[in-house]
Amino acid sequence: MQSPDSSPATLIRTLVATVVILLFGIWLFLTSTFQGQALTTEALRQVELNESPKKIPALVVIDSSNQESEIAKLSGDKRVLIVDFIYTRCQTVCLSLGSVFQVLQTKIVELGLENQIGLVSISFDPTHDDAQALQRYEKRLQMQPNIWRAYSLKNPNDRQSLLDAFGIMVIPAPLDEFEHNAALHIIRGEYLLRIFPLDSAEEALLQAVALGK
Amino acid sequence: MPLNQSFWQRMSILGILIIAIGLSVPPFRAIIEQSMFMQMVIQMPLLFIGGACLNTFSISKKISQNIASWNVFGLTGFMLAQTILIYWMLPISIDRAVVIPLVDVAKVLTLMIAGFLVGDALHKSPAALQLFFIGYFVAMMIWLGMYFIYTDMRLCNAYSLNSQYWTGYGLCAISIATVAYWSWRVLKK
Repeated sequence: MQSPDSSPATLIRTLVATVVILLFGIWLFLTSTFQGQALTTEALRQVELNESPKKIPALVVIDSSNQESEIAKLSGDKRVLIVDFIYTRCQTVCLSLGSVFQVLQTKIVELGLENQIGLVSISFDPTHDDAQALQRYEKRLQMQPNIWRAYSLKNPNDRQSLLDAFGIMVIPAPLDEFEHNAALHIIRGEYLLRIFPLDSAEEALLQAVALGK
Repeated sequence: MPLNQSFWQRMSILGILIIAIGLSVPPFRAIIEQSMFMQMVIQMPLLFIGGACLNTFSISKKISQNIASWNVFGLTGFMLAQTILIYWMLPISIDRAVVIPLVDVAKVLTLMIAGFLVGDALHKSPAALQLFFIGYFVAMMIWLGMYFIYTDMRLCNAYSLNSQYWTGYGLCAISIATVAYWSWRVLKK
């Protein structure tokens, strides 16, 4: 150990420097985590929307009968949509997402919310998912067309803008699959209003009803 | 032959740093973009170790002397290094380093600085102070590592759950290695 020069003056300097660094550290933590509310990107995506809704870009999608539409216009006469992102070949997380949506579909029927709330599954794999693939997917998941519909991008080049607009990060997984941050996105018209984690489906539905009023 | 020995020592330090920094440069960047393990268990510790070994170079000895009056017992150095290391333990920071190249540059620089400061502080501080910072750091790492192993929630949107699981074991291994190295260092004296 070197003999440190620990005169009172240098000790005070060191303590001041340490306190400044500590304060800087606290500031850094608060600014990079949305005042401590978001330690993960997924949480940040959710809390940011609580401050202000996000506008959805005008992207053209097709449905299972090859009809064109825009994401912002999918709601039609429904007030609010709950949106998730899928690819129809999916065997992993979209299956749990699929079952969450099946539960939501049942709930919507039970509560008679068909005219208020719609479910929308949008594919982020437009090169594979054409109208036929969407049709098979709708059948496989027993979607009721008046409640739940599947869509795919008309132009595969729009894929990144779609993912960026909603804050979805897709990474390749083994067996030619994808892994992505699955969640429930509540949209009204052309605005993304809230995002809920998959395990908060009931809360998402309640919020969707409230936001539709 | 002390001169020869220090030459090889310096070469291996530069080698470590070139590998560690190289992992942030395309095309090798794809390696850390795809694997959380490669970023958190391989690249980040290499940057830190490389930085810590820099004190064999004469420039860094000068830096160390220049900051000495602000850095009694290495306290300021430990504090700044701790701040940097905690920041890079946040999943949101890891994601940002993958997605935003400028953040990745900051990661490379700050981890080397953190390593340098700790390497420097270990020569200046009493064992009790070292134990405080290292003990705290290791406790956090083990907690994070165990969490990565047991949670089925993906914490980084950029990485798969599988990659996160193995990173958990990696962080625990780093913690054990840190304790072992530090104990050896203290007992050696």
